[in-house]
Amino acid sequence: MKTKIISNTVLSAALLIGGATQAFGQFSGSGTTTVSVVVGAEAAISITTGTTSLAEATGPTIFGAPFTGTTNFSYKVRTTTVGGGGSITVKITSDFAAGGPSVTTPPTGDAMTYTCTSAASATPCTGPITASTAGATSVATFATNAHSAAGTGSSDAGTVVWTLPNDPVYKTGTYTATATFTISAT
Amino acid sequence: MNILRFPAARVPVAVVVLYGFLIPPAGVKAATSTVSNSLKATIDALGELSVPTSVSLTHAGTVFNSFSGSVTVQYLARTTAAGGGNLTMKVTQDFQTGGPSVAGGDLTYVCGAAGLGTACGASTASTSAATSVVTLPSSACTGGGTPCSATSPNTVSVTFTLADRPTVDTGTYTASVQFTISAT
Repeated sequence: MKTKIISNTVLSAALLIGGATQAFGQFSGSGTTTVSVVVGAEAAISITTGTTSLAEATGPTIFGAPFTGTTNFSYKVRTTTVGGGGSITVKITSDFAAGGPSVTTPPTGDAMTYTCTSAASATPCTGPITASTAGATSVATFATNAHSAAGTGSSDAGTVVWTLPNDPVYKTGTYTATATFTISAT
Repeated sequence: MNILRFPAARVPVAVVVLYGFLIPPAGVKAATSTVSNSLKATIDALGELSVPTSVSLTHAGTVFNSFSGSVTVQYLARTTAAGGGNLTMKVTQDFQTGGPSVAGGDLTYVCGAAGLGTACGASTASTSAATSVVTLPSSACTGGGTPCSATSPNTVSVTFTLADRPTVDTGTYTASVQFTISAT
C-alpha cells in the first residue's frame, strides 16, 4: 500500500460570511480545512397552550370569584457572555369584543391582570401586572450569559396565570382576546 | 649529446599513415555495434487531494436553527486491479471550550455524489477516528474518460451541520478538519 501523509497546518482567521474559501491548497496526501462558526445571542418561544380558557374559580354563579386561566410556554435563550440580556413580554393585540370584558377600557376594578413563573434561566415578572393593549408588559427577564436547558431539542418552561374579574355588567356570551408573547436576547 | 633528427622526408609518410587510420579506404564498411537498454516505469497506486483552507458555518434567523456549510474536496486517484482506497476526514482540533463540541456529537456531515468512487452517507464527525468521505474501488483512475473518470480532478462535496445548543456561549469558534486519501 502506498500512502502519503503530509500534514499541512493551516492558520486561518474565522470568516463572518457563510461559505467556503475556495482557495485550494496544492495536491498532497492530506489537507486541512478550518471550520469556523459565530455563535450569537438567540431566543425562541413556543406557546404550548393553544387556547387559554378563563374559568370561574368557584362555581358558576358567584360574581366574587374571578375568571382565571393559565398560558403555558416553553423557550430557548442564549444571551451574550458579557453585557447581554433579554426579556419575554406580552401584549394584548386583540381585545375582547364589545359587551364583554375589556383590556383597553375595563370597568372600574375590572382590569385583567397576570402573574408569571419561569425556569431558573430567567427571572419571572413580579405580579400581579395589569395586561395592556397599549404596550408590551413584562413576563420574564434574562441576565447576561443566560442559557436555557441543555440537550438538542430541550427548552425551559414558564407560565402566565390570568385573572379577570367577573363583573355582572358583562353580557353573557363567549369573548376572546389575543395575547402576543415576544422573546428577545442580546 | 646526440640529437635524434628525423629526416624531413619521413614527416609526410607519418602523416599519411595516421590519416589512414581515420578514414577507411573506399569500399570498406564501418563496424557498428548496438546495445539495448530496457526502460521500466512502475506505475503505482496513488492518491492526492486538495481542500479549501476554510469554511464558515452559518444559519438563518436567531431561533436555534442548526449551522451549516459545505466544502468541495478535489482528488486524484489510481488504484490497482486488486486494490482500492479511501478518502477520509478527522477533526484534529475540536472547537474551543464553551463552544460546540465535535467530541459531544454536535458536528455531522453528508457527502454529495463523488466523481470517482462511492460517497459517504449521513455521518457524525469524530475527533478520535477518521470517518469515511469516499470509498475508491479497484482499478480506479482519474481523468481521460472510460475506463477512468470523465473529469480530472474528481470532486466530492461535504456538507457540515452543526447543532445550535442554547448552552453554548456566544463567541467565534474554530475546529480543524484533516482530509486524507489513500490508495492501494
